Amino acid sequence: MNPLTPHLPKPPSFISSSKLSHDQSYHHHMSTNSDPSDTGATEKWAAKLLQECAEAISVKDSSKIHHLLWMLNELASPYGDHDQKLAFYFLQALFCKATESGERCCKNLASIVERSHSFESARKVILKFQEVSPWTTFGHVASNGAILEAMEGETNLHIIDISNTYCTQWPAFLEALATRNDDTPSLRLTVVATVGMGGSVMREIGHRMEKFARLMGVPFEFQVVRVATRLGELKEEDLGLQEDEAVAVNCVGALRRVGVEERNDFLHMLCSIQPKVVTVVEEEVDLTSSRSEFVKCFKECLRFYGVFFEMLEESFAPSSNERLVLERECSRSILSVLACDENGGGDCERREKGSQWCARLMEGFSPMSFSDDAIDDVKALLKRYRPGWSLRPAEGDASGFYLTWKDEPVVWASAWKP
Amino acid sequence: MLGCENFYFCLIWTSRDLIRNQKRAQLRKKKQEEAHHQEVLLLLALRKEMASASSTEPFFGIREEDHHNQMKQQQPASMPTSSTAAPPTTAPVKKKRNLPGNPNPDAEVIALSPKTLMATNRFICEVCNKGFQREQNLQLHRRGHNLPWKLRQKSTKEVRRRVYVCPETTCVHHDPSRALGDLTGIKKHFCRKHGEKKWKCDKCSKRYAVQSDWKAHSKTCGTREYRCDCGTLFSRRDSFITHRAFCDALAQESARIPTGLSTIGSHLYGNSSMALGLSQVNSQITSLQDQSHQSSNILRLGGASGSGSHFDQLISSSNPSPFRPPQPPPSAFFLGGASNQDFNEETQSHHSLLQNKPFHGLMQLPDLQSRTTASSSTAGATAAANFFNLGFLSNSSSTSSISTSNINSNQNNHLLISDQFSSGNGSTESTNLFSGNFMSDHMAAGISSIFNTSMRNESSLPQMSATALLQKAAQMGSTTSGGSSLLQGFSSASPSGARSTSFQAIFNEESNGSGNVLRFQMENETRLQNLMNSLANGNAGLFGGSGGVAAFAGSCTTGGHEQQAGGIGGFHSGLYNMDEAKFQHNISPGSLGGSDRLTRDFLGVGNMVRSMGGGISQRERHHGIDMSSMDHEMKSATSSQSFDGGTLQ
Repeated sequence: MNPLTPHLPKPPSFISSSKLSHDQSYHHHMSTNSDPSDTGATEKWAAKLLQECAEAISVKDSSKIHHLLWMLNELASPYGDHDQKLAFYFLQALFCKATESGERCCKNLASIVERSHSFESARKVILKFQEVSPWTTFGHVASNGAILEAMEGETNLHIIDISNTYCTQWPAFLEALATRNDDTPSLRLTVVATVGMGGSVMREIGHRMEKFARLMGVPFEFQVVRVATRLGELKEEDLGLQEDEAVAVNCVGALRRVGVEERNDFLHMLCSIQPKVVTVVEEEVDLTSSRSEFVKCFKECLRFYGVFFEMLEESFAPSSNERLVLERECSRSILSVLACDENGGGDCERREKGSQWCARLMEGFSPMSFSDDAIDDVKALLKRYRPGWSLRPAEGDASGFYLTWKDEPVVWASAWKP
Repeated sequence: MLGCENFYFCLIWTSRDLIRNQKRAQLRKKKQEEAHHQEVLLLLALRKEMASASSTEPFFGIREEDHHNQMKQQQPASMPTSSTAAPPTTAPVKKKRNLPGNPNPDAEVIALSPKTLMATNRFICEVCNKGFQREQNLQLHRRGHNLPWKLRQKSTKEVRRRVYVCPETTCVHHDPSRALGDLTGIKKHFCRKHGEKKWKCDKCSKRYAVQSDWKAHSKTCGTREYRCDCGTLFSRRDSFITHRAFCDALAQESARIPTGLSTIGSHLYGNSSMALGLSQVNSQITSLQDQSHQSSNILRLGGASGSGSHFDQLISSSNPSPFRPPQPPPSAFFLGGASNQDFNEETQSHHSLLQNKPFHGLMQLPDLQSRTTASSSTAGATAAANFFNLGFLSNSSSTSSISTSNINSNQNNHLLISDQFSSGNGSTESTNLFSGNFMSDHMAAGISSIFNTSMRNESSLPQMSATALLQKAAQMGSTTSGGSSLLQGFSSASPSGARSTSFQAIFNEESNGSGNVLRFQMENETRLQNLMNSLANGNAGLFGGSGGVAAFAGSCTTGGHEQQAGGIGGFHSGLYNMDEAKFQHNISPGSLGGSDRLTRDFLGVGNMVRSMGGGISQRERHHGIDMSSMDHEMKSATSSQSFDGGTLQ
């Protein structure tokens, strides 16, 4: 955090000289500090410090803010261990929050990403992530299963793909269509792309999808619908719906990008196009209901990304570039959630939990249960990754099921019909 | 045409009967049961594509081939049920998936109840309650209890053939016209399609209705390796598929060639320059095909192993470089053009419009192909057979003369080749020669059996890829290491018949190695080594006698030369005839009469290769006419003969 350093006092020598052995220095520091409640949880120093800092920010204790930011800055590193990374990315958000520079920082980061964004890089990162972790593939397999089932017997399929998956979900779907027992239906795939998804990237992906569909023998049509700024502005007439087709809407990581206030309207719009099925996959974290309470929201955010970073750490090799890219993408989300206004540029990142989405969806939709085959497919998928992943059916007022990692629900998948 | 086809099928079925009597073949069959399943799935996809493609590509010849190919692919797939044993009498049906069930109209149609079909052990021993599926087995068992037993005697009179219909009224096999030919077949069908899937794989949760399916799956589940042309390995099918869709290996050619014809090349050899060349060849093929439907005749004729063989030959023909003139484009072009004109005038051909185009295509080959490829493929040949290769190397070095003088270079080639052949008479040399040639040959054969479905028309590229993709997916379970699988495949193929599976392994190797010329070459070398070994060890013993090997070598050689010659197209027919002459020469000292027999023995390989050669030769002649007049200029007896043949066809 270069902008910070000029404002900070020169760090005490004992910290700066022992940056590598931060645990030790942290202890030393804590014991000299006015916080005697230290339990000695050396692994969780980042969470602890970050939370302290967030609390200081919420009460506007500027000297404490200053001190904690300075300390975090000394300890954080995007290339370090789990805590150092967590500290690094959350520090960025806290700093922006404290200095109210979130919007600007977000824009900078976005433009950097935009510039380096290419088909190559996106493909590399996404496919690698899918290879090592079911985090995204879980949703793909579940959605594909639900769509295939709902579309059984239909001859003209139209899938409206509002997702952040860059079509990586569809090759397997095309293959499934091609190997189905009955005649291969035709498929129109309409991808709703937001500003963040580069135009050339989607074009390239479209080419490849078309080629692959031809290879699989599926009559295929690909179109990209761009929404000017916000996903919530998507209109039914943009989608190019036709009379005789069976529509499926695939929302993977999509609903969270709709502004919080627009969500019900958006779902209403989806309902009005009378799709055969709507699949919804979201990450299991509530950054919406607590958005006015900074500390609470911060805690939830920290919890979730703590899990996510840990998962990345265990899935990828330590020096993996793809992992670094994924972490950087997280930093934008964190920044946007913690330091940006509701109406800031770019996609909204306010996730909700499955039960919350269910409440919204229940307004216009009724839940569809997944077939045994679909669930078997997901289970089979999870078996091929490292241990730690499992499935858990949603309970209570929620429907669908969760992907859990070390018993923590992390991703939620569900299927709906109007 | 139909006669040819029937003949062909008869051959296939004879060979199949042979196989069935061999335990090894049965084992192999079992192993590939799942592979078959996948093939069928792939075929489904392919078929659909074909169906859609045929609407845009209404050429008679192409369609014919489509069907033919489908038939061919279907046959092995339906083998387990043995229901197709009746030779297909009707024109190939469009729905190939339902091909199982094409019974003899005289057969007795039997409808069994679902209960009977599901009953596993209907015949119970009253002493120990053991159940048996067949009465004969129970009778044999009763003998052990010292109970009266009686085996049904095989009746001397002609038994009426029985076919079985599926009790499920909605099923296509409910209709007697689609009945299945054996009891096991209908039982499995009923279980698979209409029964409960009670066998579940522990590893992947996949469910099966037939226990044997489940067993076969369990053996391979989780062990499969999927390998993309780009070299990346996958243990999981879905990630392989996703990767494939996004991989550059699939997308490459689209950027370069808008027609998209060139994919085949890149998929076969992963070599971009090759792809370019191939596209040209392919387009020629297309134009040739619709030129006249005689080509479909040829297809049938040559179709012993797969009607796609000409394509394969053509495609592989762009591979060996020896004949490729390393001249800059203009000169080659000019030369070709001139001779083409020449030829047109003399023969008064009615295809003049089409001739020009293919010709250019072929002549562009040298330019499009990089020299690296050339040298590497030559090197591959070198590894195979020193002698053989030497000839070609010197040949290729002399190709510079091609641009300056047609006749010279032609003669040059001719001489060199005959040289090789005459020296190939010796026993050691012949082995060498054989293996050398076999390399090129097996490439063609392997490709043909796998890809005959795909190389058809404009959209053939995706089909090809789909086949590759799926075949690979299906194949990889059973083959993990290249060399051994190749050996296995080959040894099982050579005595029993032209089983496409044996060549799939080879092909997989090939397509896997693609993308990297060097690697490709190396794989070639290893493969050759393997082939040589297998031949040396296996064949001699199996067929006993150098005569057999010689004959085999001869037929292989024919194929090989076809391929080599194809590289320059125009030289081809002349060379072919030369080869044939030499070939006759080669075997006649040993036993010419025996060659027929051998062909039968080799039904798979020998016959396949031979007929492939035949098909190609005719095709190539055809080509020769279109491409250039080099044969013409040679003015040798053989070449003019071939010419006549070509024009008359």
